[in-house]
Amino acid sequence: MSWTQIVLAPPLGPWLTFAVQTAPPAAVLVFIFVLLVAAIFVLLLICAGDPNRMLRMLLLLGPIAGAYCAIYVSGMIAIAGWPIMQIIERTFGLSGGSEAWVISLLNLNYVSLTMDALASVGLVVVLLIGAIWREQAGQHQRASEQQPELTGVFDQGAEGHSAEQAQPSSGGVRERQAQVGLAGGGGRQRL
Amino acid sequence: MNDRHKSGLRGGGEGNVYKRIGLVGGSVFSGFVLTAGLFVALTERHPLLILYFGIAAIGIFFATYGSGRLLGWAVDSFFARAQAQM
Repeated sequence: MSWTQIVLAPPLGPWLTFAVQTAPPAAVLVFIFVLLVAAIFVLLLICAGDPNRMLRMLLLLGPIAGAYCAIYVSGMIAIAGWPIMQIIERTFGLSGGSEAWVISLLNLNYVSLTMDALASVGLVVVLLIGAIWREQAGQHQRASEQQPELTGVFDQGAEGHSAEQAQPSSGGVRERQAQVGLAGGGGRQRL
Repeated sequence: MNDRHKSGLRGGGEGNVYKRIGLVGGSVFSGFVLTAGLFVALTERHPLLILYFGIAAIGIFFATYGSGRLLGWAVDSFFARAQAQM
């Protein structure tokens, strides 16, 4: 009995078979997905003239991030894929064909690659819309914050001007009152 | 610039996160492979299977941890360069 037959024997066999059949194509699909997202951002950066000179770093970051994501996604599918499928099958009372359906879905073919590309383009579009939305909201907020500040400056200017006008008289009154008080106090002291 | 980017530039905070994730992820993945190997070897009474699964576990650990370290370095460099250009 060869060791592959031993490994694929019933207790752990279905789990390992599922992992072997799903993890590698999932890793390739995830790697392509991240690489496509990075490639679209590179294209956008080239169109924008690369103002911050981040093109090289992005070109380096894309494959590294893709490999990282591929390892993690394939690892998680290999570890948790089969148990999750079992739980789903038992919870919803599905037939045993759901595992084969998942394996065929994750196979590398034109359909899965097209779905991958569409998902990456969709993600970039969503990220761009979010960034534009946030930028617009930030500009709105900055404008609305500047408006009260400006009116506040005008108000302060007006108040300052009126206070300057009023100060000599009020200062004079206070001085006079103090003089009177001092005089009174002095008078009392004298008395 | 927010605090996240600052910490990433100062002490490699952003990169350290990926390194730590790589360490944890590598341990989990390789631990799973080792456990599976032990289980199969004990049920089938085939001691060489522990060796095979052990080598596979070491490979998985280094691949995961290495990719985490690499991504941490790349992210740190990316943010440092972005900061330097701004």
